[in-house]
Amino acid sequence: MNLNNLIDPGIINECRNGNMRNFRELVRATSPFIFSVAFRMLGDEERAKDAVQETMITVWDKISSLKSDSAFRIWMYRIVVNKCYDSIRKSRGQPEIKADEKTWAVISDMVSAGEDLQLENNQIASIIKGMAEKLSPKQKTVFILSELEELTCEEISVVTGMSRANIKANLHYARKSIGEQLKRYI
Amino acid sequence: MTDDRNKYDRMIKLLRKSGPVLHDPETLEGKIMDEILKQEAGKERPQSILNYLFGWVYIGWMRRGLIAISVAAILIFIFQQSVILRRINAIGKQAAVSGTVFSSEPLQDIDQKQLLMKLTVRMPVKGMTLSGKEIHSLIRSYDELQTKYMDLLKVIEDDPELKQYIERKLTERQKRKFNL
Repeated sequence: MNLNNLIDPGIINECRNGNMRNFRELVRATSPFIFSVAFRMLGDEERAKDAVQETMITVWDKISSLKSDSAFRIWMYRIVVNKCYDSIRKSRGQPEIKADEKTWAVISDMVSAGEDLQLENNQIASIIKGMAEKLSPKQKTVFILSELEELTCEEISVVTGMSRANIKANLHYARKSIGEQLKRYI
Repeated sequence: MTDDRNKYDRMIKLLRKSGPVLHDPETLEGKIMDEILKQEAGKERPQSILNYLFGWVYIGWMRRGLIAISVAAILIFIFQQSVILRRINAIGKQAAVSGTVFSSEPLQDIDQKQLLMKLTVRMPVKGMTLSGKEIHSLIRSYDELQTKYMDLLKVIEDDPELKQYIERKLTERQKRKFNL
Protein backbone atom coordinates (compact mmCIF):
# COMPACT_ATOMS: atom_id res chain seq x y z
CA MET A 1 0.00 0.00 0.00
CA ASN A 2 1.80 3.13 -1.19
CA LEU A 3 0.46 6.37 0.15
CA ASN A 4 1.64 8.44 -2.80
CA ASN A 5 -0.61 6.46 -5.16
CA LEU A 6 -3.59 6.90 -2.85
CA ILE A 7 -3.83 10.68 -2.74
CA ASP A 8 -3.97 13.36 -5.32
CA PRO A 9 -1.39 16.10 -4.44
CA GLY A 10 -4.13 18.66 -5.20
CA ILE A 11 -6.15 17.32 -2.24
CA ILE A 12 -3.16 17.74 0.08
CA ASN A 13 -2.69 21.32 -1.12
CA GLU A 14 -6.38 22.09 -0.60
CA CYS A 15 -6.16 20.64 2.93
CA ARG A 16 -3.13 22.85 3.62
CA ASN A 17 -5.40 25.81 2.82
CA GLY A 18 -7.96 24.59 5.37
CA ASN A 19 -10.47 22.99 2.99
CA MET A 20 -12.45 20.61 5.19
CA ARG A 21 -14.33 18.86 2.38
CA ASN A 22 -11.01 17.81 0.86
CA PHE A 23 -9.80 16.75 4.27
CA ARG A 24 -12.69 14.27 4.44
CA GLU A 25 -11.39 12.86 1.15
CA LEU A 26 -7.93 12.64 2.64
CA VAL A 27 -9.25 10.82 5.72
CA ARG A 28 -11.13 8.35 3.51
CA ALA A 29 -8.06 7.67 1.37
CA THR A 30 -5.41 7.47 4.08
CA SER A 31 -7.21 5.85 7.05
CA PRO A 32 -6.71 2.24 5.84
CA PHE A 33 -3.01 2.94 5.29
CA ILE A 34 -2.56 4.54 8.73
CA PHE A 35 -4.53 1.72 10.32
CA SER A 36 -2.22 -0.80 8.68
CA VAL A 37 0.91 0.84 10.11
CA ALA A 38 -0.67 1.32 13.56
CA PHE A 39 -2.02 -2.24 13.68
CA ARG A 40 1.36 -3.72 12.78
CA MET A 41 2.93 -1.71 15.58
CA LEU A 42 0.25 -2.17 18.24
CA GLY A 43 -1.28 -5.55 17.35
CA ASP A 44 -4.75 -4.49 18.55
CA GLU A 45 -7.62 -3.23 16.38
CA GLU A 46 -9.14 -0.82 18.90
CA ARG A 47 -5.84 0.75 19.86
CA ALA A 48 -4.89 1.02 16.19
CA LYS A 49 -8.21 2.79 15.46
CA ASP A 50 -7.56 5.22 18.31
CA ALA A 51 -4.10 5.89 16.87
CA VAL A 52 -5.67 6.55 13.45
CA GLN A 53 -8.12 9.02 14.99
CA GLU A 54 -5.40 10.87 16.90
CA THR A 55 -3.14 10.88 13.84
CA MET A 56 -5.83 12.41 11.62
CA ILE A 57 -6.61 15.11 14.20
CA THR A 58 -2.92 16.02 14.40
CA VAL A 59 -2.70 16.00 10.60
CA TRP A 60 -5.59 18.48 10.41
CA ASP A 61 -4.02 20.71 13.08
CA LYS A 62 -0.56 20.75 11.51
CA ILE A 63 -1.12 20.30 7.79
CA SER A 64 -0.85 24.04 7.14
CA SER A 65 2.79 23.88 8.33
CA LEU A 66 3.63 21.10 5.85
CA LYS A 67 6.21 22.55 3.42
CA SER A 68 5.33 20.51 0.30
CA ASP A 69 2.91 17.78 -0.71
CA SER A 70 5.84 15.49 -1.62
CA ALA A 71 6.86 15.35 2.06
CA PHE A 72 3.36 14.22 3.07
CA ARG A 73 4.02 10.46 3.09
CA ILE A 74 7.01 10.55 5.46
CA TRP A 75 5.36 13.26 7.57
CA MET A 76 2.30 11.01 7.99
CA TYR A 77 4.52 8.05 8.97
CA ARG A 78 6.21 10.23 11.55
CA ILE A 79 2.90 11.23 13.14
CA VAL A 80 1.47 7.72 13.23
CA VAL A 81 4.69 6.26 14.68
CA ASN A 82 4.68 8.89 17.41
CA LYS A 83 1.02 8.15 18.20
CA CYS A 84 1.86 4.45 18.45
CA TYR A 85 4.75 5.23 20.81
CA ASP A 86 2.30 7.22 22.97
CA SER A 87 -0.10 4.27 23.00
CA ILE A 88 2.71 1.84 23.93
CA ARG A 89 3.82 4.20 26.72
CA LYS A 90 0.25 4.39 28.08
CA SER A 91 -0.19 0.62 28.05
CA ARG A 92 3.16 -0.01 29.77
CA GLY A 93 2.59 -1.97 32.96
CA GLN A 94 -0.42 -3.82 31.60
CA PRO A 95 0.09 -7.61 31.39
CA GLU A 96 1.11 -8.73 27.89
CA ILE A 97 -0.08 -12.03 26.46
CA LYS A 98 2.92 -13.93 25.14
CA ALA A 99 2.79 -16.26 22.14
CA ASP A 100 2.67 -19.85 23.43
CA GLU A 101 3.50 -23.19 21.74
CA LYS A 102 -0.02 -23.42 20.34
CA THR A 103 0.22 -19.99 18.71
CA TRP A 104 3.59 -20.88 17.21
CA ALA A 105 2.11 -24.11 15.82
CA VAL A 106 -0.59 -22.05 14.05
CA ILE A 107 2.04 -19.61 12.75
CA SER A 108 4.13 -22.54 11.47
CA ASP A 109 1.12 -23.89 9.58
CA MET A 110 0.51 -20.50 8.01
CA VAL A 111 4.11 -20.20 6.82
CA SER A 112 4.00 -23.71 5.42
CA ALA A 113 0.70 -23.01 3.64
CA GLY A 114 2.54 -20.76 1.21
CA GLU A 115 2.34 -17.28 -0.17
CA ASP A 116 -1.21 -17.51 -1.48
CA LEU A 117 -2.63 -17.41 2.02
CA GLN A 118 -4.40 -14.19 3.03
CA LEU A 119 -4.00 -13.56 6.75
CA GLU A 120 -6.71 -12.21 9.03
CA ASN A 121 -5.95 -9.24 11.32
CA ASN A 122 -5.70 -11.44 14.43
CA GLN A 123 -3.31 -13.81 12.63
CA ILE A 124 -1.10 -10.90 11.57
CA ALA A 125 -1.11 -9.64 15.16
CA SER A 126 -0.13 -13.10 16.48
CA ILE A 127 2.74 -13.47 14.02
CA ILE A 128 4.18 -10.02 14.69
CA LYS A 129 3.72 -10.45 18.43
CA GLY A 130 5.51 -13.81 18.33
CA MET A 131 8.34 -12.58 16.12
CA ALA A 132 8.91 -9.29 17.91
CA GLU A 133 8.43 -10.67 21.42
CA LYS A 134 12.03 -10.01 22.41
CA LEU A 135 12.36 -6.65 20.66
CA SER A 136 12.27 -3.21 22.25
CA PRO A 137 9.69 -0.72 20.87
CA LYS A 138 12.47 0.98 18.87
CA GLN A 139 13.72 -2.26 17.37
CA LYS A 140 10.17 -3.32 16.56
CA THR A 141 9.50 0.05 14.88
CA VAL A 142 12.65 -0.17 12.76
CA PHE A 143 11.79 -3.76 11.81
CA ILE A 144 8.21 -2.87 10.79
CA LEU A 145 9.21 0.26 8.86
CA SER A 146 12.08 -1.45 7.08
CA GLU A 147 10.81 -4.97 6.44
CA LEU A 148 7.03 -4.55 6.22
CA GLU A 149 6.55 -0.93 5.13
CA GLU A 150 9.69 -1.09 2.97
CA LEU A 151 11.03 2.33 3.85
CA THR A 152 14.66 3.20 3.13
CA CYS A 153 17.19 3.84 5.87
CA GLU A 154 17.05 7.62 5.20
CA GLU A 155 13.26 7.63 5.41
CA ILE A 156 13.29 5.69 8.68
CA SER A 157 15.82 8.19 10.01
CA VAL A 158 13.42 11.06 9.22
CA VAL A 159 10.44 9.20 10.70
CA THR A 160 12.07 8.05 13.94
CA GLY A 161 14.76 10.70 14.40
CA MET A 162 17.37 7.96 14.82
CA SER A 163 20.79 8.03 13.16
CA ARG A 164 21.44 5.71 10.22
CA ALA A 165 24.02 3.73 12.19
CA ASN A 166 21.53 3.28 15.01
CA ILE A 167 18.85 2.12 12.58
CA LYS A 168 21.20 -0.41 11.00
CA ALA A 169 22.24 -1.74 14.40
CA ASN A 170 18.62 -2.03 15.57
CA LEU A 171 17.57 -3.73 12.34
CA HIS A 172 20.46 -6.19 12.55
CA TYR A 173 19.50 -7.09 16.12
CA ALA A 174 15.80 -7.40 15.19
CA ARG A 175 16.53 -9.74 12.26
CA LYS A 176 18.80 -11.86 14.42
CA SER A 177 16.28 -12.07 17.25
CA ILE A 178 13.38 -12.91 14.91
CA GLY A 179 15.56 -15.50 13.12
CA GLU A 180 16.21 -17.20 16.44
CA GLN A 181 12.51 -17.20 17.31
CA LEU A 182 11.65 -18.76 13.96
CA LYS A 183 14.44 -21.34 14.33
CA ARG A 184 13.17 -22.32 17.75
CA TYR A 185 9.46 -22.62 17.00
CA ILE A 186 9.03 -23.30 13.28
CA MET B 1 21.35 -21.30 7.72
CA THR B 2 19.72 -20.97 4.29
CA ASP B 3 16.65 -22.76 5.59
CA ASP B 4 16.37 -20.26 8.45
CA ARG B 5 16.79 -17.40 6.03
CA ASN B 6 14.05 -18.90 3.85
CA LYS B 7 11.69 -19.12 6.81
CA TYR B 8 12.35 -15.50 7.61
CA ASP B 9 11.83 -14.39 4.01
CA ARG B 10 8.64 -16.41 3.66
CA MET B 11 7.27 -14.91 6.83
CA ILE B 12 8.10 -11.38 5.73
CA LYS B 13 6.57 -11.94 2.28
CA LEU B 14 3.42 -13.29 3.87
CA LEU B 15 3.14 -10.31 6.19
CA ARG B 16 3.83 -7.80 3.42
CA LYS B 17 1.16 -9.34 1.22
CA SER B 18 -1.45 -9.58 3.95
CA GLY B 19 -1.90 -6.02 5.11
CA PRO B 20 -4.20 -5.45 8.11
CA VAL B 21 -7.73 -4.60 7.01
CA LEU B 22 -9.68 -1.70 8.47
CA HIS B 23 -13.24 -2.88 9.03
CA ASP B 24 -16.01 -0.29 8.96
CA PRO B 25 -13.89 2.67 7.78
CA GLU B 26 -17.01 4.89 7.47
CA THR B 27 -17.60 4.85 11.25
CA LEU B 28 -13.99 5.79 11.92
CA GLU B 29 -14.16 8.52 9.27
CA GLY B 30 -17.33 9.90 10.89
CA LYS B 31 -15.69 9.87 14.35
CA ILE B 32 -12.61 11.69 13.06
CA MET B 33 -14.64 14.36 11.27
CA ASP B 34 -16.93 14.85 14.31
CA GLU B 35 -13.91 15.34 16.55
CA ILE B 36 -12.34 17.82 14.14
CA LEU B 37 -15.61 19.76 13.75
CA LYS B 38 -15.91 19.93 17.55
CA GLN B 39 -12.36 21.32 17.78
CA GLU B 40 -13.03 23.84 15.04
CA ALA B 41 -16.22 25.04 16.77
CA GLY B 42 -14.16 25.64 19.93
CA LYS B 43 -11.59 27.63 17.93
CA GLU B 44 -14.21 29.73 16.15
CA ARG B 45 -15.74 31.25 19.31
CA PRO B 46 -13.01 33.86 19.99
CA GLN B 47 -12.81 34.53 16.26
CA SER B 48 -16.54 35.35 16.17
CA ILE B 49 -16.16 37.87 19.05
CA LEU B 50 -13.41 39.64 17.12
CA ASN B 51 -15.59 39.57 14.01
CA TYR B 52 -18.47 41.06 15.99
CA LEU B 53 -16.27 43.91 17.26
CA PHE B 54 -14.19 44.62 14.17
CA GLY B 55 -16.26 43.06 11.39
CA TRP B 56 -17.07 46.50 10.01
CA VAL B 57 -13.43 46.98 8.91
CA TYR B 58 -13.01 45.27 5.57
CA ILE B 59 -9.30 45.86 5.03
CA GLY B 60 -7.36 43.03 6.64
CA TRP B 61 -4.28 44.92 7.84
CA MET B 62 -6.45 47.74 9.21
CA ARG B 63 -8.58 45.26 11.16
CA ARG B 64 -5.49 43.57 12.60
CA GLY B 65 -4.06 46.99 13.46
CA LEU B 66 -7.24 48.01 15.28
CA ILE B 67 -7.26 44.76 17.24
CA ALA B 68 -3.61 45.29 18.20
CA ILE B 69 -4.24 48.90 19.24
CA SER B 70 -7.27 47.95 21.37
CA VAL B 71 -5.34 45.18 23.08
CA ALA B 72 -2.45 47.59 23.76
CA ALA B 73 -4.85 50.24 25.13
CA ILE B 74 -6.47 47.72 27.47
CA LEU B 75 -3.06 46.56 28.68
CA ILE B 76 -1.87 50.15 29.30
CA PHE B 77 -5.09 50.92 31.19
CA ILE B 78 -4.69 47.86 33.41
CA PHE B 79 -1.01 48.71 34.04
CA GLN B 80 -1.80 52.33 34.87
CA GLN B 81 -4.60 51.35 37.23
CA SER B 82 -2.40 48.89 39.06
CA VAL B 83 0.40 51.50 39.41
CA ILE B 84 -2.02 54.19 40.72
CA LEU B 85 -3.60 51.78 43.19
CA ARG B 86 -0.17 50.75 44.46
CA ARG B 87 0.81 54.41 44.95
CA ILE B 88 -2.43 55.23 46.78
CA ASN B 89 -1.91 52.28 49.09
CA ALA B 90 1.68 53.41 49.77
CA ILE B 91 0.74 57.02 50.73
CA GLY B 92 -0.20 56.08 54.29
CA LYS B 93 3.20 54.49 54.81
CA GLN B 94 5.12 57.49 53.52
CA ALA B 95 4.78 59.77 56.59
CA ALA B 96 8.29 60.51 57.82
CA VAL B 97 8.90 62.99 60.63
CA SER B 98 12.53 63.97 60.81
CA GLY B 99 13.76 67.09 62.52
CA THR B 100 10.54 69.03 61.94
CA VAL B 101 9.78 71.65 64.59
CA PHE B 102 6.37 73.15 65.14
CA SER B 103 6.53 76.87 64.99
CA SER B 104 4.29 79.06 67.06
CA GLU B 105 2.85 80.48 63.86
CA PRO B 106 -0.63 79.21 62.84
CA LEU B 107 -0.66 76.28 60.46
CA GLN B 108 -1.22 78.11 57.26
CA ASP B 109 1.56 76.51 55.38
CA ILE B 110 0.34 73.59 53.29
CA ASP B 111 3.42 71.48 54.23
CA GLN B 112 2.61 71.75 57.90
CA LYS B 113 -0.99 70.76 57.25
CA GLN B 114 0.25 67.77 55.32
CA LEU B 115 2.55 66.86 58.17
CA LEU B 116 -0.30 67.03 60.66
CA MET B 117 -2.37 64.86 58.38
CA LYS B 118 0.43 62.31 58.15
CA LEU B 119 0.88 62.32 61.90
CA THR B 120 -2.82 61.71 62.39
CA VAL B 121 -2.64 58.74 60.03
CA ARG B 122 0.49 57.42 61.75
CA MET B 123 -1.05 57.49 65.19
CA PRO B 124 -4.28 55.56 64.84
CA VAL B 125 -6.40 55.03 67.91
CA LYS B 126 -7.43 51.42 68.31
CA GLY B 127 -10.84 50.76 66.80
CA MET B 128 -11.16 54.35 65.54
CA THR B 129 -10.91 55.60 61.99
CA LEU B 130 -10.62 59.21 60.85
CA SER B 131 -12.23 60.48 57.69
CA GLY B 132 -10.77 63.29 55.57
CA LYS B 133 -13.54 65.63 56.76
CA GLU B 134 -12.67 64.99 60.43
CA ILE B 135 -8.97 65.62 59.76
CA HIS B 136 -9.81 68.92 58.06
CA SER B 137 -11.97 70.04 60.99
CA LEU B 138 -9.15 69.01 63.37
CA ILE B 139 -6.67 71.15 61.42
CA ARG B 140 -9.12 74.08 61.37
CA SER B 141 -9.70 73.96 65.15
CA TYR B 142 -5.95 73.66 65.72
CA ASP B 143 -5.43 76.78 63.58
CA GLU B 144 -8.10 78.69 65.53
CA LEU B 145 -6.55 77.62 68.83
CA GLN B 146 -3.14 78.79 67.65
CA THR B 147 -4.54 82.19 66.57
CA LYS B 148 -6.33 82.68 69.88
CA TYR B 149 -3.19 81.73 71.79
CA MET B 150 -1.17 84.26 69.79
CA ASP B 151 -3.78 86.99 70.46
CA LEU B 152 -3.69 86.21 74.16
CA LEU B 153 0.10 86.44 74.25
CA LYS B 154 -0.08 89.81 72.46
CA VAL B 155 -2.63 91.15 74.98
CA ILE B 156 -0.42 90.05 77.87
CA GLU B 157 2.66 91.65 76.28
CA ASP B 158 0.81 94.93 75.75
CA ASP B 159 -0.41 95.18 79.37
CA PRO B 160 2.51 95.10 81.90
CA GLU B 161 0.15 94.97 84.91
CA LEU B 162 -1.67 92.00 83.53
CA LYS B 163 1.67 90.41 82.77
CA GLN B 164 2.85 90.94 86.33
CA TYR B 165 -0.43 89.64 87.68
CA ILE B 166 -0.21 86.48 85.59
CA GLU B 167 3.43 85.93 86.52
CA ARG B 168 2.59 86.31 90.19
CA LYS B 169 -0.34 83.90 89.91
CA LEU B 170 1.84 81.37 88.07
CA THR B 171 4.56 81.61 90.77
CA GLU B 172 1.99 81.11 93.53
CA ARG B 173 0.58 78.10 91.74
CA GLN B 174 4.04 76.70 91.34
CA LYS B 175 4.74 77.18 95.07
CA ARG B 176 1.42 75.50 95.97
CA LYS B 177 2.35 72.57 93.82
CA PHE B 178 5.74 72.32 95.54
CA ASN B 179 4.11 72.44 99.01
CA LEU B 180 1.85 69.57 98.13
